[in-house]
Amino acid sequence: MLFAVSAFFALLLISPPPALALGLQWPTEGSYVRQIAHLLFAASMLFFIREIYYTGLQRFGGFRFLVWSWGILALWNLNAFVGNWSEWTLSNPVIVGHGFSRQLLMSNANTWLFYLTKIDHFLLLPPAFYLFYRGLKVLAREPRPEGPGAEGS
Amino acid sequence: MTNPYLYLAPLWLLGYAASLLVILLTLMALRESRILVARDPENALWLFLNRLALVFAIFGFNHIISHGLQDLITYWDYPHLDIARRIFSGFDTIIYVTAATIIFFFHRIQRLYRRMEADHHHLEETSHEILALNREMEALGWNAPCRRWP
Repeated sequence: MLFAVSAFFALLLISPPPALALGLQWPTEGSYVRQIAHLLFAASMLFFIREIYYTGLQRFGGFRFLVWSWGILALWNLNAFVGNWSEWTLSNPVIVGHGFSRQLLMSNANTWLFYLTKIDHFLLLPPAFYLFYRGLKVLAREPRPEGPGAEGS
Repeated sequence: MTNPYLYLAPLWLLGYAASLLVILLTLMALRESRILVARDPENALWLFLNRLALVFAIFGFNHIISHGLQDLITYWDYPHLDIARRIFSGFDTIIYVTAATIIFFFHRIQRLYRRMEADHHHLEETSHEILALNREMEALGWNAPCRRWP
């Protein structure tokens, strides 16, 4: 299996470039599906926060961490939605240099939006998953009779 | 006033650092969720969190691959990798939808599970009440007339 995956990537790397499109074009079906998936993911996170409060699970420390985690993940999804929209609507971005020295000309508000949403994208995911891990850890360490598992919730 | 140029490399480096951290954290979360399931295998909430942790761990690995391919295309001029990037981006989308589906369905399962738990407790209480009543009747000699039948 590993050999097959490695061979697949090796073939892609050494194969001659067939001049496919660079990056996603906005009006493709995949772009719309991805954007809808981000909105759906964000909605499910907000829905789960509501469920935690509705069932009274927020009184457990672990679930309070999970609420923050879902909140940040919902924010990340909205950020990714805006970032994707910004990236796919960049009109003729000016990029100079090669490899690590590539630079982007910040020519308009959309270019700034693209750059800033890329930074936010990476600043939001690690805290969200840290809080998810922390929440589960607190729940796993809670004494059994006092935890939500004891109530079958 | 001229427009500034900003390096794209920080985005690339920040992205990889964050992606590696996400993989580590999701694997740690998966381990904690397994501890919860091992403690109470029949608890629907722990099973749900375990499945969600598994989906997030898959997301962590897939995300770094799709972003790596994106960077190979953008920074190192490998446009022919675009087909692979599209495949992994598609998996990314499927993972978002899967996570959302698990959460939305969990709402129903959670309510059903709570009702089953309540019914179970109610049955247990009724059973205890019947047992206590039976003992009281035995103590009062309620079954004595039955013994007089031939």
